[in-house]
Amino acid sequence: MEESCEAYRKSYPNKLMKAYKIILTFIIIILSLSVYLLTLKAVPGNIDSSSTLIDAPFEGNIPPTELSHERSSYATMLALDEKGTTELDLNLGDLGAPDTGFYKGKIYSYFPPGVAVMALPFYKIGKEFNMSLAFAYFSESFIATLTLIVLFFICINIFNLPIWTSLFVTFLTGFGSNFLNFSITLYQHIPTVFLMLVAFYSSWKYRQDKNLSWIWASFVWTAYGLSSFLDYPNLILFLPIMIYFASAGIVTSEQEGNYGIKIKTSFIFTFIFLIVVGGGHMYYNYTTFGNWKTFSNTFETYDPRNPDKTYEALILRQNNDTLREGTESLGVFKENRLINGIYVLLFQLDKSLFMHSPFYIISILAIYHLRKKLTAEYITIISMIILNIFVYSSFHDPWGGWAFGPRYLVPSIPFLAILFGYWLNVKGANFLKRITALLFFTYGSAVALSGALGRGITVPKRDAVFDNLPTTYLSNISYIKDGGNGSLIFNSYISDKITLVDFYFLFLLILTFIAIIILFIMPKFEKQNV
Amino acid sequence: MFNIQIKKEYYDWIVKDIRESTPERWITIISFMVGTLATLYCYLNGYITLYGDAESHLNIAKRVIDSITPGFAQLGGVWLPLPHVLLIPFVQFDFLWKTGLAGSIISGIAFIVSSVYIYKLGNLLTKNKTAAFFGSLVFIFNPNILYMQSTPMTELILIVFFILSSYYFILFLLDDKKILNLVIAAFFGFLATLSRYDGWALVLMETGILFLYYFPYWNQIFRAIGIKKQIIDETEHKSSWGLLEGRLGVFCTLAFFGILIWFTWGYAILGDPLYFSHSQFSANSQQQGWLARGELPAYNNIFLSIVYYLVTSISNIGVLISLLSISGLFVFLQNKNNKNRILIILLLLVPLFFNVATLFMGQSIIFIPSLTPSTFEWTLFNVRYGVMMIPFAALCAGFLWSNSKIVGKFIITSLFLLQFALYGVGYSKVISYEDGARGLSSQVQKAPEAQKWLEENYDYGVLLLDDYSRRISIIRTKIKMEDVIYIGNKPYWEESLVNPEKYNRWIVLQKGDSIWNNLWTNPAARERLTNHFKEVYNSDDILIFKKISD
Repeated sequence: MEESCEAYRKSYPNKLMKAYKIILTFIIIILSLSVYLLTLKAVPGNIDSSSTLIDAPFEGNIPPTELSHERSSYATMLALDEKGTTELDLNLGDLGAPDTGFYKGKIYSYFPPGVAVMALPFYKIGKEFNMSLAFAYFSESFIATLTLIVLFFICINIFNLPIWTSLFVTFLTGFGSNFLNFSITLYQHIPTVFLMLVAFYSSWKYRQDKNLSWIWASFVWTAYGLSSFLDYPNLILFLPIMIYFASAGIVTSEQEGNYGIKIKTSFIFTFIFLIVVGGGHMYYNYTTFGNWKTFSNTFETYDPRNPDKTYEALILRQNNDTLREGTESLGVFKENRLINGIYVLLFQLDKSLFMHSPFYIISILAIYHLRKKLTAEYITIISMIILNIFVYSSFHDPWGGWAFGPRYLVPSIPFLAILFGYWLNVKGANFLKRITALLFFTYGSAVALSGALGRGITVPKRDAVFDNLPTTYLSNISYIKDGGNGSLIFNSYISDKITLVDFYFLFLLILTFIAIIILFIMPKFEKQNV
Repeated sequence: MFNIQIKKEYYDWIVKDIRESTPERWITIISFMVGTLATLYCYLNGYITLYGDAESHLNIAKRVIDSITPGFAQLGGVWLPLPHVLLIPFVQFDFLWKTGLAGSIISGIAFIVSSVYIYKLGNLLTKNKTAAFFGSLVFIFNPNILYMQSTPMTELILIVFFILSSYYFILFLLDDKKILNLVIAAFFGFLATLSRYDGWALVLMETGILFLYYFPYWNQIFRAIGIKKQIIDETEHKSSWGLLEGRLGVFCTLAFFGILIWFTWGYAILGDPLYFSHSQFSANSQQQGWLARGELPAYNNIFLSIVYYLVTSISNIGVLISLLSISGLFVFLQNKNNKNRILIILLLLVPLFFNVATLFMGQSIIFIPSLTPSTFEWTLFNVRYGVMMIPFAALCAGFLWSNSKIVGKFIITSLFLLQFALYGVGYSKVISYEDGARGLSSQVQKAPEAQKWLEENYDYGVLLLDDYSRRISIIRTKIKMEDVIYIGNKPYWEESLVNPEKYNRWIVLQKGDSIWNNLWTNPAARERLTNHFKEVYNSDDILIFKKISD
């Protein structure tokens, strides 16, 4: 496969190739922005701490504030904007609850401040247009678009996939999986994926590009440092990329029994970026919580709806010294949860990857095909996937709350899609493979769109049974049929022209049509050029 | 560019020292040191006799030489006798008996010999000393193995005979002209059959493999049904009925002799050759209780039986080492240069087949937190059965090492070290220790207040105790074994249930046990008891009486 891709690539004149890539990059930008804008979960107006939406966050639990995860980061962003601190007052604490912690009489979001900081500039711009919430949520769409561009170039440059395959991998990630659902609301997963891909691409460039190695190395360290601002487990999830990076920065040699270890100057000196960024995070912890290694997700939960967790109850417990004050962060991961976690994340007919983005089954098949041609880059992405599954399968809540689909596996989706792209180019049964790819893409898009246009919620069975709630994404069918949705654009400009059901199918049809062009027409066009 | 030079002269002396010494010697030294340290740690922390079974093994051996009715009949008829026989020379010393160190010595020796033979077997199969050495280290540094080798439990004894028998059996498979190897394999198989029932599966599998190996028509049959692949490698040996009969005769006569001895023993001493399988103390009888409560999850469910045993094995091996081992297994099976690789893997997988079969048939039970429903009374029980797969995992890790280049070896080493980090940060648990400390297998977990009372108040005299439930620990008190009357002391036991004051100064009644049923539930017997004995301790389910005349 490698040889044929290389031959195909060499057959293109360089200039034509460049122009082709630029055009396709523009297409990715336009298409992804269109998809994300059309599905963006938002409401018009400036939504700040005095808004009525903020006053009654639980009533109806409608998009765009249907889950506490997005509300909690939004609350931190409002606190930063209005008071210049990540500490939440009771009003904002109520907004973010129960994803909020109580520490020394103060309330904080459970999540590091990265997402809130990322959304803040967009929020401020949005305020000028009376669209603050929409702009804040759009920050995710913006990062998602950048992520898809980086992914496209990773497919072409690192993995030598044909252009049509690279484009398909990009769209399969962006619109054919539940990556889409987290690109239109406020979660840490999309910026995490962005930093992962930037770190991976920069590590690869660091190996290739000797002249600009300083710049690429500084990108890698910075991305790694920034990732901790988004989510604490990122420090573990990035490890395969950091090892890949280190393998370029540290060179070993052996001559007649004499071993040499050479560490590139650029590798060592750019480490300062990690110290500055990572140190910044520790400094934030120190100034906010009084200890550099105190993480907010270890605090006692603040939840005004639970009598034991109200502010007054927590203050009382604090005075009685019966309050949990930060447990060991690694304690939330346990090996004995692994089996159940793997089942929940990968197979359970509930909110697993199998239900939402089943193309990963083919990606596993690709690993089998790759077994004798494993390069360091493929080893890195396979390790990323395994580590991601391993870490979150050991987590006490592998479901990821009520978020749409297996949100903890979002960081693996681009890498699984790359493996899918590899499989598409393994010799034999090309037409059947493309049909399979189309089916997986259409199914994935249909599921993701149901969450994007309907409710971004899938209730785990254990909670659904307990609370007598509908489970799986299928519950969105009746929701969409009833016209309920959170799309700002649809509600503002389209709802009076077509029904939500028609809009859903039209959307799906267009995405499927694009996939057909990429899978069945682009390869022919590229062959003709060869 | 920063350069760090490691010149040959810096480390050459170490390499020379290692080269001058054989790997076997290094394995012996490392396993001895690590095993001794682990035992010392367990001794200082009181972990050696956490398991209820651990004390029972010590007591059985002790009763053979030091009891009110000493003799080999004390070996009983449920647990196989060899581990207890091996303990006898050491339990004569009360210190070694009470601390459990008698068992640590036996298990520790078994651990060292196993480590060496895992190396030898790895080297035999890979022809790569470093890979074999790595495989042996995987075994030596497994914390579950290290814990079990410090206890009087029987797992390490079986492991050593399993490894020894497998090693010589594989030597024979690779060169069937050397009959002596088959005889030695049969001898260690014989010892395995007298150690744990898993050993019976071992000799059965070896017999089956001999059949596969010599059956003259396999490849014709495979060809007839369309399988062109040569399953049985016939390049180095001839298949024939004559050879099959001869080799089976040589092997089975010795290998199955242990089973014959056990049947005979059951018949001669207990009047039933199958006493071990259906007496009230057998595992089968115990499993009936779980079945009645609906808590025998793998019974008649082959999928759950496999999943339960695989998860238990992975938990014992370590999740990262398991990943390496599974990869190593595929690497080994894919390498066509490995002669008779399918037969070899079948042999090494005996613990898997045996445990899956016994779980399926309801002959054994495992509870493990990751699978057992939290609604069950206990979620941790018998997970130590998974340690039997550790030698297999160690060998497979060696296979992977032997087929890896420098980057691969770096990754394998990193994962090996990372596994320790996972134990260190509390992500992974030493599950066989956990079962002893907190599971249903634990003696200390079930120890009642009465135990402490007895430790503090027992002074002297004979104690009547039904120790089947193992709630009261003899080794934790000052009581001598010759001062205990239990169910195996004929006729003292029977007489004591009618006439308790005849021999006993102390009587422990545990709700539902034989003494309770005979002396407490019957009003006449209760009156007799209270006439001669004074109740000195009582709780909801345990009563302790002391003779009034004293």
